[in-house]
Amino acid sequence: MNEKIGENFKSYIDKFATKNGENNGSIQDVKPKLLSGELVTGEALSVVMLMPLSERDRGRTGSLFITNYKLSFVSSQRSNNEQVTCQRNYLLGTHDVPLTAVGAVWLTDGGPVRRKRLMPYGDMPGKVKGLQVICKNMKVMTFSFANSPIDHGRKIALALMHHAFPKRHDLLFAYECREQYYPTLPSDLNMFSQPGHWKRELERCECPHWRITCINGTSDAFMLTAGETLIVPSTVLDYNLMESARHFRSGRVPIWVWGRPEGAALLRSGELLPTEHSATAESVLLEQVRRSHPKLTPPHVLYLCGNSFTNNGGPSILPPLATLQASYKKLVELCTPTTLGGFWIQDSQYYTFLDSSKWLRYVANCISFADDAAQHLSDNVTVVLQEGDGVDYCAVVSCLTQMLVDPHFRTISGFQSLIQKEWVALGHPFCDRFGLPRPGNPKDSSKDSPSAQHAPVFLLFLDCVWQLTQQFPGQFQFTETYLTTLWDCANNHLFDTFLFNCARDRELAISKNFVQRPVWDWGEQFSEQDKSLFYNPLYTGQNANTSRTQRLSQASLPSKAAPTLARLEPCASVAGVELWSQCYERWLLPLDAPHAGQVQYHVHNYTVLREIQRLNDQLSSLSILSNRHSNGESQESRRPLVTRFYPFSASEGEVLTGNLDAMQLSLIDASQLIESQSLLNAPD
Amino acid sequence: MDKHNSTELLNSDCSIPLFKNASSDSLDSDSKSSSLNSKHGQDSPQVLGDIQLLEGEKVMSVARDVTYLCPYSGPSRGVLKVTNYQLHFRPTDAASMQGILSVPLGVVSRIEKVGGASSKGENSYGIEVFCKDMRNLRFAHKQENHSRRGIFEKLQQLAFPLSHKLPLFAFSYKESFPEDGWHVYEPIAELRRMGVNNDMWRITRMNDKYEVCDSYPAIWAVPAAANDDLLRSVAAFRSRGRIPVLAWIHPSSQATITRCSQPLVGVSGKRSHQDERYIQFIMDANAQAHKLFIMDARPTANAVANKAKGGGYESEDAYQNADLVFLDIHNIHVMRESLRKLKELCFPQIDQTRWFSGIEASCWLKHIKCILAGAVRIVDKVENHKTSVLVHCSDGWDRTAQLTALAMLMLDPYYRTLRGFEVLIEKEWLSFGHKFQLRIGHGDDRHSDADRSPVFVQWVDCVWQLQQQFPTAFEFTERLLITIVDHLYSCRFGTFLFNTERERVKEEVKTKTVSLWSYINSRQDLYLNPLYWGPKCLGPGSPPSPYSRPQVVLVPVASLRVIKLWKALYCRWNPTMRQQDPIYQRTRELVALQAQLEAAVAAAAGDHAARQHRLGLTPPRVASPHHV
Repeated sequence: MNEKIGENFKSYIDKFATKNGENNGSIQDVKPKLLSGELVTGEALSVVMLMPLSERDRGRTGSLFITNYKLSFVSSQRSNNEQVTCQRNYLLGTHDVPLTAVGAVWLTDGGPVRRKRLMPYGDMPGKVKGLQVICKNMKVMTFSFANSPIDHGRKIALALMHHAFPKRHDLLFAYECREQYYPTLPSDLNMFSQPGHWKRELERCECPHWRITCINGTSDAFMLTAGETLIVPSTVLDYNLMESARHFRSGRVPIWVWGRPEGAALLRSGELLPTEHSATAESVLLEQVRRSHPKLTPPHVLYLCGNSFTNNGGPSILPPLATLQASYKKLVELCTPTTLGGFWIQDSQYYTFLDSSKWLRYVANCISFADDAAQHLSDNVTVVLQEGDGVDYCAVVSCLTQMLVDPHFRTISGFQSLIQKEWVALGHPFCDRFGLPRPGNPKDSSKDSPSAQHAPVFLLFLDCVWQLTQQFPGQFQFTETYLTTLWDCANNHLFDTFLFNCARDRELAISKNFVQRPVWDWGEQFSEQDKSLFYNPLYTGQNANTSRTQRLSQASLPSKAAPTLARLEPCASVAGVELWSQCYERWLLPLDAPHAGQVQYHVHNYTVLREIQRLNDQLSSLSILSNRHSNGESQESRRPLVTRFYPFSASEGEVLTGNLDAMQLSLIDASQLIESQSLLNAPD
Repeated sequence: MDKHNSTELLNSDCSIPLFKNASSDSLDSDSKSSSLNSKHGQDSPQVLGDIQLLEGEKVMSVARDVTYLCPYSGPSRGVLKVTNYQLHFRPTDAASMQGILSVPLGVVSRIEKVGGASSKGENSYGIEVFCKDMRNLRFAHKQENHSRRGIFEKLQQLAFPLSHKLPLFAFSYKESFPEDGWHVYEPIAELRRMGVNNDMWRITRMNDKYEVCDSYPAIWAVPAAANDDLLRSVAAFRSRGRIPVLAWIHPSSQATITRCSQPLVGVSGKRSHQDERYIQFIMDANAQAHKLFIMDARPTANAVANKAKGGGYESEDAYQNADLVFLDIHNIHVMRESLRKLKELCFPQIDQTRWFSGIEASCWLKHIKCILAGAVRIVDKVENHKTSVLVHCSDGWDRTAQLTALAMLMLDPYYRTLRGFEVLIEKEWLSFGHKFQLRIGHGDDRHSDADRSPVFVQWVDCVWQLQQQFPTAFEFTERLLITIVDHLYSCRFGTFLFNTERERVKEEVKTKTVSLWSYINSRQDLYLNPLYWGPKCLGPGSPPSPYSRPQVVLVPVASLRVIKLWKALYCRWNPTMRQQDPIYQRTRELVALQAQLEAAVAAAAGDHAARQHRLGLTPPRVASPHHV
């Protein structure tokens, strides 16, 4: 523990402090690791990277590089304790940030205090003493150029501002990257990129009253932002679809995304065009939806952003994208204090700040809509989600609903398939929402100002999913570490998954030799050890969980409903949601502490699982009378020492000496271990 | 409303007289679900019709045709019974145990009549029961023949026995348990555990008759250098004679935590050379430091204001080597008001638009932060600076107890075991005279009495915060904490009755009532934390691993980003706020499997060795009767 504790708590951080600027000068051997196709475009020597939220200007000395892919700080001090417990990315170093993950850049006077925000293509002052980079994942990096050769600060700032905010889509590094890529995607991952994929889903759900149409892949396409394959009521003709599509925003007629054999289905649609005077076009299609239900039950429509015809708003509707973006900005402000003083000032009115961001309100509203939809589906009533262009909140609520009712989507590959279906195939405009330039001629896209399109809808979704994992700790195969990593990767536009607005743009790029690198190939970035942390040790598996889930929902399932809908009933109240600490607060050093936090549950359970695995092995080797018993391994179960934000801990130093072998689980399925109890009963 | 079907699990595990056979329930981690199992309590002492009575419990009054107005699932018709222990409501139409309400009368804070004989509207005539455990109960009666009068009067009498010259239920309750919880805490044994007597500290029994200080225990540990005469003169200078005595001593550095009340300085700035000398002895008892920190829990302004009433604080002129620090923790009245606001926020319905601003406005979490921060400062001085700390507030029985008990919990892993925690409560709260009777108002109808305050609950909340921050550091789960809070009010056990050890001895609490720890220790499995990773887990003989070892000292982060609202306590009556998938259950299964496998491996290894043995040294026996 540290010597300074106590004054007013300012201090947990000093213990991580490293020596300030001792090695300046000896920086010649320092170079960033580059990927094939990556070029260094700017370099500053003798840079000090300040410790976040430190009282004094402490930090590490090193060199700062800007490449066409990333911002890279390379420390000249060889840390003998290279953060063994931290998640490592093969593509990025510990202090590297992909340029697309840079959110805002500020000028500083060399310390942590901000002076002026730098705007892309704006003016650059003659002298740059320091820079502060606020990343989209809420990491704050502060650099001081006080010891750097003259002009290095300004040059690096120019390089950063030039490359981090490209004007054209094809200037993104994903187009330049020449790294070899050998896809090894799991076979059960459904990419939803071909009609066959949709057929697979339709068959998985056993829904006979729906048909696949490929008209959207022809010259008669009416829903330009979606892929070629759509699933519609089998009674609707393609001609009717084209006709109706003219009345809907973006041609978004209701389309099928999920269903159950008993008849109820989940559909997404856009709103009617503002020029429509009545809801006739909508009613016509809804009638067809009704007829595709074996019991002819009329569908229930959820107006996620209110209904312009009935003025059916209500307090729980989801906000316009600009409002969501504003909410997110306040959240970022709350989670990125730059000085320790600022940190404690926020602490003194924490809930007021949290309230004013409204972020958790929106999270709760999404979950509430999904709960409502799941309730109807379990009553065997078809649900139609409707919202704006049908590509934002529709995707959020649709995904959440499916996760609530279908255990398949609570597995890792099911979840990834779900994102492919709802976000990628059905055309969530990632470029616009992440603030990237659109593919094609930049002049074409001047319809809306790009900033108005900028909104963290996908993050909102991940946050909602995180809430579900917190409320149902044993129901999801993935962990919060998986979700946090996914958010980090969504901001790393080396991968194509979150790089395009729609399938059309993607195909266009592929035709120009663009190499697709799906983010789902986790082995490209992470070791087996890091990947094993994606798996929830408490997950009971799709097969094993029937008894438990049934018990959970038995009391709640109405008797008239068809059987075996393993529905989760989340708490959708604002009082029931929490701030996603691992994702948003992991860079706040004062909060990080050894032995702390929810992650300890996981670590403990991993350790127990590993021990169970070892004992199982030992038992089977004993029971076949093999001679190599207990192979000398120590009997004690070792538990690694981790800190609250493991594996994202930003703290370095003596705290993090752990035995990580304990985490190595080789991705065993916990449920199978429980089944292996039968082994115990076998006579030896 | 499907969700609300489970509403009527309103009874916490205290409110249902639970079966003794606890081990059958060991995988059940969730305190709320315990009531589900209550119907299995076949071996509970007496079953009268539908109500399960404790030993010594009697039905005193029955009212039929009463409607319970549940804020979540709506009105339900049924029978209301009042015993000398509980208020019991059973819906007539309920086939199962769901919908049954069983509330110990000890939690009742006040009872009011609602509406008159001529009130209009359905269910407008009846009674409302305001509880100490964050809920209110509304019952509606028929508007004829004064139908509520009988039950109302009976309730008044039985809920507030002390106001009606009647004994508390704890004195009628006669259940026996395998272990007598009154033996959990033995002051001498606990002091010996810390190495007292030693060169520097001695045990004194000068307060044997509670004559030196009537709110202190009979046995103290004081600096060996101080003789009894000095102690008497110090007592004269400290408010209510509560002189500085030992609470905890660091096993290696000998730095101590001592506790007392404020010095009687007054406006004139009186000094006591005996007191100054005594403080110097406390400092000298720790050879590692030449300094002593006096942590005054109060805000500076309050400490100054106390001078006008004859109290005050130690001036640094008089106490040369002492550093005085004010910890800014507010008084009992502020805390009571804060919790009242929190209750408004949490019960009955949560107003989503006001949730966060309501939390902010209640200031409850800020007070928690302040207390945690104060305890961390004490821990820092003792652990990192090897400096002794003296803690006091005004009287030294509210904030002082919060701080010392919390700091000890952070410093000493023993107190984080189930038994150690019981010892901690017995020692720092009960024996040092936290005024439970005044603060809770057991059996007393003066609900607005200014001495009532949730000081102890607030401390339990702080313990919960520690548990949340360090999920593997405690041998017990939050379920134990909730059970303790339940029985803080219930008056079923003698543990939290009366204000001081002296009163408890006089009233023969140990012989006439049952200890809460008897009850808890007989069903320990329910409270054990499967994630616990303490010194105990290493087992005897196993060398401490160089890679991983349990943390000895806990230093929580006192930031509102980490301090959470304890919804499982404050929002427990709201069925929508339930944690749906208890996290411990699966872990318990895994740990049980691990143990099973370990046993199997050991057996198989033994078997294997035996076979080797037979193969090598003894002629193989054919048709051994042991081989089936």
